[in-house]
Amino acid sequence: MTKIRRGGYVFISWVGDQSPRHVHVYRDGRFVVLIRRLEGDGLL
Amino acid sequence: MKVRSVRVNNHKRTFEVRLAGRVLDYPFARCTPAPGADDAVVEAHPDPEMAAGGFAYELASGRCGAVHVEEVLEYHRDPAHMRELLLYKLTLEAQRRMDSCGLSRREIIRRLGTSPAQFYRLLDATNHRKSVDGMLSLLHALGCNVELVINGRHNTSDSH
Repeated sequence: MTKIRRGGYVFISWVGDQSPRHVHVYRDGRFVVLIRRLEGDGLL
Repeated sequence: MKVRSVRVNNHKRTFEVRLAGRVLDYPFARCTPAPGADDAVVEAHPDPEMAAGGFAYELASGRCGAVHVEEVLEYHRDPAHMRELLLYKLTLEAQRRMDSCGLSRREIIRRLGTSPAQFYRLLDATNHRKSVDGMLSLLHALGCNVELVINGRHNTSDSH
């Protein structure tokens, strides 16, 4: 799993056995967004 | 889903992850960096940076790692989690087909025999409370043929 801190945000990603891509974003200990939701909404 | 606590089991070489109502093992071998005999885990705890949606650990060498709870659920092929992933894939496919099927939304709703609200719930990728049955109906209404392929967990032979 990769954990990257940028600009106060924490990006958590990993390569799972299953699609879709998993990227979770947190800020100040709170869940912000799941990147796959952005994909689902056509934003990525 | 939140991690309540984490225990290190050096005998089994796993983290014992306590979730609501159950404890799941997660092997050291799947972690990066991987704990070993010469680099043992000195601390493991639910990670506040992930809103306790995972755990973090520190090795004797000072290196740190973290594991998200979904990795643990995926490793155990948790039925509820796998269902959620399947629903998500079906939803994405339905969204793609919506644009290419050439049908108006009103026509699709008419074919489904449902309400507009229910139709939009089916198209919402963040809605995990909808049913796979509903998604199959939507895909059929969009003119798709849906075939199921069921793979064994440890072999590649398919059954239909």
